[in-house]
Amino acid sequence: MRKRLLAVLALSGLGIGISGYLSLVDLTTVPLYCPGGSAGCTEVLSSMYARIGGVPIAALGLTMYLGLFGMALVCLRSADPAFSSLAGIFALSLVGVIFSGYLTFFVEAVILRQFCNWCLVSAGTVTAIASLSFSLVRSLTGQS
Amino acid sequence: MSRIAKRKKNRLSQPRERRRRWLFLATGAALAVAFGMVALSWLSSRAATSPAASLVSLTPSAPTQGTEQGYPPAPVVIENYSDFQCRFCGLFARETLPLLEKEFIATGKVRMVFRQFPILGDESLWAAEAAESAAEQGKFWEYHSLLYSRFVGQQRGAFVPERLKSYARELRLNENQFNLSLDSGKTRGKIQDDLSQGRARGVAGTPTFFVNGTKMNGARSIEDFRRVIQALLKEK
Repeated sequence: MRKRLLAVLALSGLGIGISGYLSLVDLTTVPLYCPGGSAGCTEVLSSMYARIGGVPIAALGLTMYLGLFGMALVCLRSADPAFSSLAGIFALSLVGVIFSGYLTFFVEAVILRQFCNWCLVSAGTVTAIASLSFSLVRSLTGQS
Repeated sequence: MSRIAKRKKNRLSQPRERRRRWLFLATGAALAVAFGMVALSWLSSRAATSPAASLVSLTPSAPTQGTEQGYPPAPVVIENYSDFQCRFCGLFARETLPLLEKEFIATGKVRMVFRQFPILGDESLWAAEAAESAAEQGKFWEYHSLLYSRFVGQQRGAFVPERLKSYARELRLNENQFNLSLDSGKTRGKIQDDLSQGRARGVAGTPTFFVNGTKMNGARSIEDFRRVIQALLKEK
């Protein structure tokens, strides 16, 4: 269990890095660097889908990753992690997976027809966190 | 099964049941939040493209003439070299320009001049031609704001001629005159003039501003403009 929690912690750290940088780009004049070319990132991040009611999606992602990081840390520090904390990690990451799926397969693939590589890495990261946390909760509900 | 064994089994299964209930609750809440966010994102993007939203800041607050707005004797002149497909030009047009209009242009201190610098592909050039065609009917600034509100990404079809004509219809321009002007390419000469003049002045990217001739690169904040404008006003 400890190894899987450590992996969740590391992946959340990666997510904090990506979403924190994209939030800075959106809210300040920090230049945008995108792995594999910046055209897709520029188009996706400047589109009307990059914000919900004026709030950058990157900032929402940052909030989610900070929450996941905090909960993973709490679980790691406890000898017998509370089931509710593990279920919380799973639920929060599930929100991330569904929303990333909407952004990747609908907004980027269908509407904008451009992919933002940072967003794809973040989608992969949150999916990995959701899988790990699902395996953790399953092992505690006796279904594994 | 003995009574003791039954009691032991119950003790073990109770937390399991509780945990499963927890998991169902957490999953249900996650699904509700996620679908709520998808719906909000969808509605928010629809609101950004609705005619009502795009018309909010379309009408300039100072007199306009062609691609210029402001009172002619204004002591400060800002020239803006922009492309309609440029992300940061859009950011300036949506966020900083309305503040400049209110504080400096409507009060007669600044005159804003838009210079075409379409460098990001065919749709940039078509959008520039369409904006110049709207300028012939005295609606450049309205059309300019509408274009920036409709940008969805470079070369993604938002500024193809058919769409550009539909925006003119939306602004109730004289459609025949607009379509004729756009189809004939008659404004291309003026756009080429702006481009060559910009290149000669060292414009390499968009947006680039010249404030009373002094070059400023990039979509600067209102504070940056305020500082430069106030320093120039003090000199006058």
